[in-house]
Amino acid sequence: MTGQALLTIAVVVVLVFLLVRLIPGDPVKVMLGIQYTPEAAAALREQLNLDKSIPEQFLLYVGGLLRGDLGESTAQPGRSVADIIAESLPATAAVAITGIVFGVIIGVLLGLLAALSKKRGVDVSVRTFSMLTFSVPAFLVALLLILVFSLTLGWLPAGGWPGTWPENIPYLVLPAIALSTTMSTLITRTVRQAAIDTQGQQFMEAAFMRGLPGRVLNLKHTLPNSLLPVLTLVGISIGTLLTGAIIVEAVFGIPGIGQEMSQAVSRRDYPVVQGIALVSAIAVVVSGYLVEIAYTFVDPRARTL
Amino acid sequence: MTKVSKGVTAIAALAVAAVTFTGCAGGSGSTASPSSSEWNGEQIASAVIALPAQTTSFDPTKSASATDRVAAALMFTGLYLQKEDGTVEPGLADGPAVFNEDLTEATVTMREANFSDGSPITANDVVATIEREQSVEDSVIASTTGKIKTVEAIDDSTVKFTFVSAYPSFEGVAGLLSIYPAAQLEDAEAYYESPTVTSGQYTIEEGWASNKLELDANPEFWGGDPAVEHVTFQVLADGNSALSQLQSGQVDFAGDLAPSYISQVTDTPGLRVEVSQVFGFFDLRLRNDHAPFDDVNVRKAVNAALDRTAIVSSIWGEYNTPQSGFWPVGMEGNDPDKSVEQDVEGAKALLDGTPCESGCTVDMIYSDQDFAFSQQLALMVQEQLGKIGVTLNLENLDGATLIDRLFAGDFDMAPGAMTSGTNTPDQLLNLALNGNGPLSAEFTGYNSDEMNALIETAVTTTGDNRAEAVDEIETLFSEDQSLVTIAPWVRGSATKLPAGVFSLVGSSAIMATVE
Repeated sequence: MTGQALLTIAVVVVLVFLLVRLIPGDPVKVMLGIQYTPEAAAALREQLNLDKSIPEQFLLYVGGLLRGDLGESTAQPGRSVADIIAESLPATAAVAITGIVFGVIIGVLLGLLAALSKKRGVDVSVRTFSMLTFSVPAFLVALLLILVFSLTLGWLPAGGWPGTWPENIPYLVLPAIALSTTMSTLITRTVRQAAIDTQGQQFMEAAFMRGLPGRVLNLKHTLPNSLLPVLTLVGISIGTLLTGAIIVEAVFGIPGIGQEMSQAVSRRDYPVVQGIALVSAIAVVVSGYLVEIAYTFVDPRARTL
Repeated sequence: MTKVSKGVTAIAALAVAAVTFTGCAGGSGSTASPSSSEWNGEQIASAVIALPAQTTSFDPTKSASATDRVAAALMFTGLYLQKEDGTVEPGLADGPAVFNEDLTEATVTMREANFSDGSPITANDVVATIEREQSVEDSVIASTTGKIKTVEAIDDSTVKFTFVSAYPSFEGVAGLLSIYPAAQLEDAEAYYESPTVTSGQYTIEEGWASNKLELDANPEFWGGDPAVEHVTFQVLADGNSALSQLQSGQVDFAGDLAPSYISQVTDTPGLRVEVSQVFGFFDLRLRNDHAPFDDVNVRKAVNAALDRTAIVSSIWGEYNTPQSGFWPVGMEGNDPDKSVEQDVEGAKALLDGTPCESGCTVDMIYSDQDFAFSQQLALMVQEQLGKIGVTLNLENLDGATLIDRLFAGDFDMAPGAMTSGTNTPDQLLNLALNGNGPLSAEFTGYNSDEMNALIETAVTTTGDNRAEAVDEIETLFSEDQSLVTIAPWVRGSATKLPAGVFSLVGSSAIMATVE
């Protein structure tokens, strides 16, 4: 599994390195803009090693990676890629983690409500609500949240990021909700189905026959069995969350890794694009590992395998 | 507990949580008062200024973003300062520059002033600044510092400049360059990471963090206290986000908003729209060196067929005016009576005998990353030129690809813009009309010896000679029509600060001072 993870990261490194250089657009011309002269361009190209061949550039890049050096931004002279990522990653991580927490809580609660309620109307309502939230794009959800909770009610800030704790907390709420909508919908549907399947199991019938109250049945048997697929969903949602972060960070003005990536691509800042792609790949791989480990704690059957 | 009471308890808990967040919610990020018509002259404690452009560097040889320039305008000062109308006034200089007869030398006497650390600003700092900037090979201000041949400190308060050629616009171009402390420039790389020693109205404790920059009034500034004691600069790339935070009170000034956002705040109580000139224009670049725009009558036909009034009204509403000549409003040479009317029949007549007489197809490239209204402009131009039989194939590119295609000349038509940044003709002429300039006459490939000679006269003379050259440039521009101007380049902002406190001007900014 470690070998597979390393291979995944290596493939991402090579692919991203090649892809950014295949995109049309010269980073030197972007940087110099109207101040472009052939002499300035040549000097800048040499400084950025862009005058070297692609294989030479790749070897230099890999050599830097092996030394722990992600390189220096071409669009933000003097700033290392590591510094840029270190400054922007905490904001994205905070929003993403809060989004996961919100998504899991909302998704599990709604899923159980739909599965366990004796009223068919509740089930239909939850499923309709899930379909609606799944259909609405994250940026539209974000704008609606701002309109209602910030501009109309004045309960929460419209965006921004103070950069210190605990001042960041209120700025997390709306972005996290916007980011969690897609994942919470998937979790709702998954938990609902898992809960219904669990309820239909023979051991549940046996426990009911032995006189266990409904609350105990739901908490001790239905809920744990419904959470197993949620773990998998959370693990595979990391990549989607990072993509969604670009849009949510733009709408809320959060200086996260999504914003840095968006700017880096438009400015052809190759080192930053490569660095963020590498970090994202590592995040996805690590989250997969964590899901595997969590499974062994949550599901006793996984420990014997 | 019954189910109903459980539900009520849960709802109550959520409400408590909401109230807790409400208490913590970031309300107004400033203490600026809601917009009134004019500033009362009293210092405002703090304000938050939001701009969309990402920062690159404090180093002027590397920084090209609008945010960098605005931040530098508040932190540093030059020998001369730009006023709102684009003219200049003495800054660190204590009067106008004294030129020699052929305008190839200028002597500037400096006022007594200090850096933020209390050390005096002397002629040696000016020399060190210019020489360091000239030494950087890939400098983005090379075209400005390149006009200075030598700079010499005659004494502590007198600087003598020798230019490569006559440079009457010195005060309004190179004279605006910020001055930095010579002592700090010995290790420029370290200094520009966080330039805590400043020469302007504000100083900083540290550099950008979380896309924010905190500025405090510089007590050593020679010009008095700034109108706002503490300024927070914030980068907000998305216009919606900037507008939302302006309306919620977190931001006091949202600058460089796209025209579509300006219209949203026009009638919002407590908010004011500000539009500032950049001393340039928005235009359509026409590739002059291949068909069909190698035929001057086809270019003139495009010029005549455009309904500029409709374009300006649609994009900018009441906040801009149409332009058909070369010189924008506010600049020397502007002809306020020049017709901007659409003339479809006249355009069709111009096409007689040209490759587009029976219709033709041209490729227009554009990018929404260039200007937010690029697509809207492209569609309107497509519709208007369709009336004279010119069919536009529109190609939407990303910003970097657009730049590549422009430099390669791989296009027929492209929306664009060009500016001097200050109310001097030099940069606008050299970039937009000079065929030997760095952008090959704004990528059009236009190269006229007559125009180049007129440009040389305009940038190296003053008084009547310059005025005459400026007028002749306008005339020749209409004859050659290398590109088609549409409207002056303006910067739109929305603010709740009182008028006169802070404004964007040219490519820079002005913060008022307390009297």
